[in-house]
Amino acid sequence: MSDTAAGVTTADKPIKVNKWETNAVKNALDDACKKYFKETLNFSEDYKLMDGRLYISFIACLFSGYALIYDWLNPFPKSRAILILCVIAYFILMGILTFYMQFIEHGKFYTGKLVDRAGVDPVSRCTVSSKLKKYDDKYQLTLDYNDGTDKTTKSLKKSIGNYFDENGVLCYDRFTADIRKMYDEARLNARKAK
Amino acid sequence: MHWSRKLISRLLRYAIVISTLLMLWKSLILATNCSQPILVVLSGGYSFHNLGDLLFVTNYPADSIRAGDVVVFRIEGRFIPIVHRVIRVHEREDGYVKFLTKGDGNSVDDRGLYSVGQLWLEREQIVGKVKGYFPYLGLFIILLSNLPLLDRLLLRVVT
Repeated sequence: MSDTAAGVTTADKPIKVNKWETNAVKNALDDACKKYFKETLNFSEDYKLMDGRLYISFIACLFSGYALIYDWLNPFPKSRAILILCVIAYFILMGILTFYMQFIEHGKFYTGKLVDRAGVDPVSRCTVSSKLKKYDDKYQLTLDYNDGTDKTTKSLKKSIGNYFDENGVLCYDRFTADIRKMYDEARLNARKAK
Repeated sequence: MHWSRKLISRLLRYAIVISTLLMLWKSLILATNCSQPILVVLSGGYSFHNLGDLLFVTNYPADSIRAGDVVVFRIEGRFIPIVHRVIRVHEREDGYVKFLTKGDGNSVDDRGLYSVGQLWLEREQIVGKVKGYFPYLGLFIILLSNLPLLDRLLLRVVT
């Protein structure tokens, strides 16, 4: 059982998940990573990627809502044309959404940027994505570090057994230690490349 | 993450699920050209359909309705449509048709069910022809229809 480190704020009770449930484990790790970036590394989260997905979903729902209301007010044979339009539009949007989530979002659950206080260094961006296959225990965390001039990508692939104890409690420190190592490597790499 | 973004994200996820089901249903309506392509039989005995049967209905304009076809039709002012067999068809040269229906188990035709003064069914009152059915599947829907609000939404038909 490990409690969270002193560097983390407020009421942090250790996160406990069902260690056999892949989704819950992945989400717990992703959330911990996001938390670490936000609180310790002081990145501010960039919501553009997520917002894109929300906009597409919203427009699709607008089409379906419009079809519903129109059909309610003008029962079937009259609403045929509008229904065809809305149904086709909806499925096209679903296709776009699937494409977006599959290729553009592609496992990226966090995009953040770090604005240097002194204003000297250019803004550095980090994009983090993760992969955890269904009945697999190997969690792969990929960090894309963009320094403003150079980009490096670092990833770590470890068993989730490294981060969760027998009861399914997440050992935050061990996880963040690995993240920190990866982040420092990425930064070093970027500096070297200059 | 701001709580509003989290809330919107969650709401949209549910909305997408519901919308997808809705759009699939609407496309079924479009494909069969029928406003109620799937119906559940509510009462049995008057036709060869039993309680709980799921009926598949289509309404293609080129598919002409002939005597002997089982059709679903709606009477003015009645909410629940009826499924009976067409026993007589009157057709004029200009294409105007009217129908007389009768339940298989009934001894008289449906004129008693039509509106006052109506002796024949118009084409517009016919929801569609029954193409096939699946027994018993609709029993769950009948159970659901006992709940107060769902009543109007569910697709039922009497024989």
